[in-house]
Amino acid sequence: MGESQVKDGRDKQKLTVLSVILIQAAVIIYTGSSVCSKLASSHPGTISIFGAELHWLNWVGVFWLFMEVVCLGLYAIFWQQIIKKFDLSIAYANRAFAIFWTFLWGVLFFGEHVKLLNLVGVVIVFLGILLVNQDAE
Amino acid sequence: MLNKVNPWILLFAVSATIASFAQMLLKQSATEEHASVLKEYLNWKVIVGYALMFAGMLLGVIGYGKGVEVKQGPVMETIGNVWVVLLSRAFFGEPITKKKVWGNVLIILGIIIFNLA
Repeated sequence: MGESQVKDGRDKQKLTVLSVILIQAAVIIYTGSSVCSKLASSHPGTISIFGAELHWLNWVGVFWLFMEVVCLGLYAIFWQQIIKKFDLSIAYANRAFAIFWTFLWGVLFFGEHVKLLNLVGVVIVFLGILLVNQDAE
Repeated sequence: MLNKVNPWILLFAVSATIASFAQMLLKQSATEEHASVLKEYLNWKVIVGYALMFAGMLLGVIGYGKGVEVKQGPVMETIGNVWVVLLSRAFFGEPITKKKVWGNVLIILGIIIFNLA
């Protein structure tokens, strides 16, 4: 690790209802990035910056791209603190819920249809994530 | 069935792969002592880590623009868990346990079943 010292011996916080709510709030902000990404992608077009034309998104699309960065930026700030204060297994188990949240946003905001195999697949993926991260430290 | 799957969902798997490399940098930074709270965020590992995530983010926008549904993106991105297990072994010498192997098998199985819908 070079000149850096690793903080292996630090105490980790216990999981409380409040901490779960706070971590899930961070996860929901993270899933907001997918919503913004989809919204950005639905505004193709051209923007002009300093005379140069960029053919991809219009300014509304760029706004949603910016909002995606905002979501990820906020999430990054929270996530760095979460993985400092909690075991990674707890952090990743909570983050695994992101696929359920995004599912909800897909249905609520974009009218996407949920099929049985979608749900079965997501539950299996979720269990897989829990298993992979069960002994993370 | 799988032959109806939008091939652009693979962009999300690529995005997750890039993000997994980014996670390695972020984890290294998170486990190191820093002189100040500001330097916890403003150091090259965090900056490069999030730059990689930004690149992955742009891939996501392209994918969604090609008709990938919101519900599909994050599910495909869970392939990142497989990468994290492999890269954690390579970067930090973390053991690949049976739980990790079976967990990854479940993730891949779940992704396939999800896309059968």
